[in-house]
Amino acid sequence: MAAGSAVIFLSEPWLAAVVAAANVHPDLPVALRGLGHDLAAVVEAEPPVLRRAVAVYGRQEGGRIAGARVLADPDEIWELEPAYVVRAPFRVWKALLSGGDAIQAALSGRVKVQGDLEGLIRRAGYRYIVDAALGSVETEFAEEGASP
Amino acid sequence: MRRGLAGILLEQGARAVGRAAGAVMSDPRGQEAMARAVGLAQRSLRLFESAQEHALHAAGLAARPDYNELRKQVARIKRKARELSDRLEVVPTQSAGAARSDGDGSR
Repeated sequence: MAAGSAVIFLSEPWLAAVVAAANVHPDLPVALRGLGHDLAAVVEAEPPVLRRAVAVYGRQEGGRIAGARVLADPDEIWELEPAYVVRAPFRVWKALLSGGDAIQAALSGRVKVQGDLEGLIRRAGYRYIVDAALGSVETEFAEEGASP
Repeated sequence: MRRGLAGILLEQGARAVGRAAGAVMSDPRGQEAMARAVGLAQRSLRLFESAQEHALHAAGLAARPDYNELRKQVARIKRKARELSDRLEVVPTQSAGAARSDGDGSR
């Protein structure tokens, strides 16, 4: 994304930009092969920074992310029953997006993962795809008290 | 104060474990070993939960999957209510538009 066109974290344009960046990565089909079909990521409320939880949902098809959206209500996850659910508070996501150690965050319990961890750990080496996609999008974090 | 010390110790412990895990994960064999260990632990937990569910059902009590099913139904009802609410917001707008076209003398 061009410099100076920052997008707000967890907004639809931000999600679309991250997905588009990930989908052009040549290693993505290999990384996704054998994984579950869908994933939800929940940014847990952390007042006053984030007053209510926000969840995004994405599904893969044919080696690419075929669809992603910000859920109107995080409870939709119960209905969607995605293969993986990753939950963490706002500040933890912000730290991870800024290059924080995901393994340490997961082991310390700050990031909670539901789903087949075995498959995810086997693909931990592909984290550079996520890092590259996130790094290519200039992310602006909402100020205190604001909602995305 | 004690809680603060416990917190510091926990954080340092987590960092140490994180460093060790990072070292293991940087090696493909270590990564594979960790994946297998975690997979085994998850499967064992699922077996335990399944046994617990059977025991609770045998005693006439609800187990976690029953609560999950309820949450799923609540989520479905919430979504339907949201969709209905969205439709109701559209209908007055359309009615107002129709009323304007009726009253503009175009008939």
